[in-house]
Amino acid sequence: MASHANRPARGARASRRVAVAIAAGCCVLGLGALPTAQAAKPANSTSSSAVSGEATVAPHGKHAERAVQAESVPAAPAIAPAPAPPPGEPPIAAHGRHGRAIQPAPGPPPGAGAGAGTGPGLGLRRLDREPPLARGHRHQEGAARGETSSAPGSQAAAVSADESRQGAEALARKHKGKGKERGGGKEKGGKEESKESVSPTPVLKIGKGKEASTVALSQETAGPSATAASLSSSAASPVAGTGPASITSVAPVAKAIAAAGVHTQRATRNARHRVAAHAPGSPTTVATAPVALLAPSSGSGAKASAAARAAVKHTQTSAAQPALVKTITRIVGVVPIPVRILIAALVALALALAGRSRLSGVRARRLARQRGQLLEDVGLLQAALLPVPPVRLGPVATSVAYRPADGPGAGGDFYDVFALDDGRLAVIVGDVSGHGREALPHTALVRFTVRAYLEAGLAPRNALQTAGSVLERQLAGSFATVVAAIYHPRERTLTYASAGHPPPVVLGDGDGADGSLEAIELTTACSAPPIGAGMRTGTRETVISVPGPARLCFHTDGVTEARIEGDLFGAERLVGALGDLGREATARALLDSVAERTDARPDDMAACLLRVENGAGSPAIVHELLELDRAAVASGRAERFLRESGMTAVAAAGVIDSARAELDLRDSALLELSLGDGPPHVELAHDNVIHAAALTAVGAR
Amino acid sequence: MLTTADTSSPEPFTGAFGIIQSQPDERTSVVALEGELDLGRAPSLKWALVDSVDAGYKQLVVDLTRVRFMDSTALSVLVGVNRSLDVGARLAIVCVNTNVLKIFELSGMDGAFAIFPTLDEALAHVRGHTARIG
Repeated sequence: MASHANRPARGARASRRVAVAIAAGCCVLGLGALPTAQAAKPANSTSSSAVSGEATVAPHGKHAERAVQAESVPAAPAIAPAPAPPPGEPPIAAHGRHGRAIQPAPGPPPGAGAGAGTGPGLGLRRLDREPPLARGHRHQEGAARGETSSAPGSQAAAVSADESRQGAEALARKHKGKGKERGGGKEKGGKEESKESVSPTPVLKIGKGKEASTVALSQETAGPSATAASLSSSAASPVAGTGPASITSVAPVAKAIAAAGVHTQRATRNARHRVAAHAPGSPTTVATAPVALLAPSSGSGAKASAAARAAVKHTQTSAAQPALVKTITRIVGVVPIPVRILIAALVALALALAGRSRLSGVRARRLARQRGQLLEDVGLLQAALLPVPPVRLGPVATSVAYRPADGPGAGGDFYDVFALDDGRLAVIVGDVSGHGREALPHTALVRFTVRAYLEAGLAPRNALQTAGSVLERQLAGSFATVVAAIYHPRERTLTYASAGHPPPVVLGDGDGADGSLEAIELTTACSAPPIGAGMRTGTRETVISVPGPARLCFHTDGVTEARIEGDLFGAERLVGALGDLGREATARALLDSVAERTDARPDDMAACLLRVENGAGSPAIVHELLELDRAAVASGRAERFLRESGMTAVAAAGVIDSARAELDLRDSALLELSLGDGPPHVELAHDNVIHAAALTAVGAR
Repeated sequence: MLTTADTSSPEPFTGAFGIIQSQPDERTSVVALEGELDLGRAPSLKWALVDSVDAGYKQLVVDLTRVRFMDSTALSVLVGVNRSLDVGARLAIVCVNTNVLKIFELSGMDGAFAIFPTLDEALAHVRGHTARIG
C-alpha cells in the first residue's frame, strides 16, 4: 500500500508545484484563485494538487475573502469544498467566486498555515450540492483537527459515520487501515504539508499547527461528506446529535474514507444513495436539514455550478491551446520589455502606414475619376465655345484651330464661322481679357452677341458697335477684342471690322507663276478699341477685294505674341509661316507650325483660315470707313490714317480740315475712303445714320 | 527689383525686367519699366500702379521708354488702371518704342492714353501744364 501511496504522492507533489506556480502567476495577474482548476485537470491524482494549490493560494486571493460568511463556528478550521469532478470531466477547483463558501468566523490563528492567509477560519466552499456534481472541500486547519473540533471535518465524519453507516461506512471500514495509515501520514503532515495522495482521486489533506494541510476528499466521497460537514456546521451539531467527542472519534473515519480514496465513483454514489435511502429518522433529518439550512446561502447553486463548468471549459480550452501559441507565448515571454514596446510601436506604425497607403490609393482613384469628368466637362464647354465649322462654305474652304497656352494664360479665345444668307460667310474671332474659368462666360457672351448682330444683318462695324454698347455693362471691367468679318462670294469681297483685335492676314496666292506671296498691308492707325474698354468701338470698317485665290487668316494675339528668340513672333513671321505651309494649309497646321517655330506661347492661340479659290488677281483694300471724333483729329491719328492709306500729305491735311469743320457742328463725322485704280477718294459724311438706326433698333443707349 | 538681362537664356520669360518707382513730388508717381512687359510681368505693373493710386498720388506716369515689347496683357492692365482713375487724376505714358506704340495703335487704345515721347512732356501733362499731345 505504501508503494501505492507513494506513487500518487510524487505525482501530487509535482502537480502541486505546477499548481502553485500557475496559481501564483494567476494571483499576480489578479485572477485570484481561479487558476487552480488547471492543475486539477489531468486526472484523479492531480485533483489533490488542485486542492492543495487552492489551499495555498486561495486565501491570498480576494475570492477567498469574498467567501460567504456562514454561521460562526467557534472552531477555526476552514473547510472548503475541493473540486471533485466525476471522472472524464476535469475536476472543478473550488473557486471562491463560483463556489459558495461557508466560512465560519475566523478563529484566532494559532499559527497561520502556509496557505492560511485569511486566517484559519472554517471555509467551506461548495461548487454544487447536486449529487453528481463535483464537490470538494478545502480544509484548512489552522488549529489541530481533532480536539479543536473542526466542525466540518468532524461533522463530515459524523455524517459519514452516522448517517451513511450502513453504506458508506462499510467502505470506510474497508479502507480503515489505509485511513489509519493515512492518519499517520497526516500526523506527519502536521509539520509539513501532507504530500501523500492515497488515491488517484482527491486527497484529503489536513494541516496542523503552522503547517496547513489541505483536505482533499475523493470526488464523490468527499461530496456527501463535505456537504454533510458543511450542513452540520451550519446547522450545528445538535441536528446530527453528535457531540464533539463523537465528532472527534468519527473524524478519522471520514478522513480515512477520504484518504483511502480507492473507492470508485460508483461506490461513492452507492454510498451516498445509501445514505439517502437508509437514513430514516434523525439521519434523514440531518440529511434534509442541511439542505434547508444551506438553501438560503446556496440560492445560486445552479448558477455557481454553471459558472464552475464554464471555468472548467475555459481551462480546457486554454490547456488545449495549440503548441504554436504556446511557443509564441514562450518566445514573447523572453523578449525584453523595451523590445516589446519597440515591436508594438513598429507594428502600429506599419498598420498606420498601410491604412494611409490604402486611403491614398482610394483618394487617387477618386481624383482620377473626377479629373476625367472635369476634362469631359471642359471638352463640352470647349466644343460650345469653339465650334467645328463646316469644312466648305460655298467657294471658301474653312478651317479652325485652337491651341491652349503653355502656362496659366489659357482661356479667353473664341471663334465662329457660319453661313449667312445670300451665300455669305461670317467669321468671328476674339479674345476676352482674363483667363481661365472666369473668362468663359464672357467669351460665350461676346461670341453669341456679335454673331446675333451679324445674323440680324448688321455690317461688321455696326455689329461691333452695337455689341460694344450692349456688352459694356455686362463685361464688368474686363474687355474683349473681336474681329468680325463677312465674305461675299459674288462680290468677292471681305468686309471686316475690328474692336482692338489684330486684323486678318490677307495673303494673295497669286498665279503661282513666281511663287511670290503678297500680303496686304493693312492700316493700323485709327483702329477701334476693344469692347468693354469704356470707349466707342466699331468705328472702322475695311473692305478688301479678293478677286483671285487667297488665304484669309484670322487669329488671336496669342499667335503674334508667341516668343521667338526673345522677340514676338509677329505678323510678318506669320505670313512667312503661311507661305511655307502652302495653299492647302489648315489652321491646325498653321498653329502647329507656329508652335514649332516659337520658344514659348504664353497665351492661347486661335486661328481661322479661309481659303478662297478660283478667280484671278490679287487682293486689295478697296474701301475704308472711319468714324472720326475730335480727339482722333486732334491727336493726329486721323491724319496718320489718311497718310497710311496712301493719301498725300496735302490731301490728308485738306481732309482733316474738312473733318474739323464738320466736328465743330457734330460729335462725329464719317470718313469714307475709296481706294481704287485712281487716287484715293474721300467723302466726308454726316453722322452715321445706319449706326444710329441700329442702336435704336436694339434699344441700347 | 532690377534684374540684369540674361541673353543666354532661350526662355523669354526669364528675360530682363525691372520696375522702378519714384515720386518727383508729393502728387506725382512715376513707374518706370524695363525689359519685356508680358503676361508674367503685367501683375507687377498692376500692383505698382494700384499702390500709387492707393497712396493718393493723382498724377501717374508710366515710363515705357526702356520696354522692349509689351503684350495685350500689360495693355489690359493699363486700360484697367486708366479707367479706375478718380476724377482729377491723370495718367500719362512715355513711349518711343515703335513695337510698343504699335500695340497701342493696333488695339485702338492709342486714343485712350496720353502718350508722350519724353518723361518731361508726360510730367508736364499730368501736372496740367500742357495740353495732351497723344
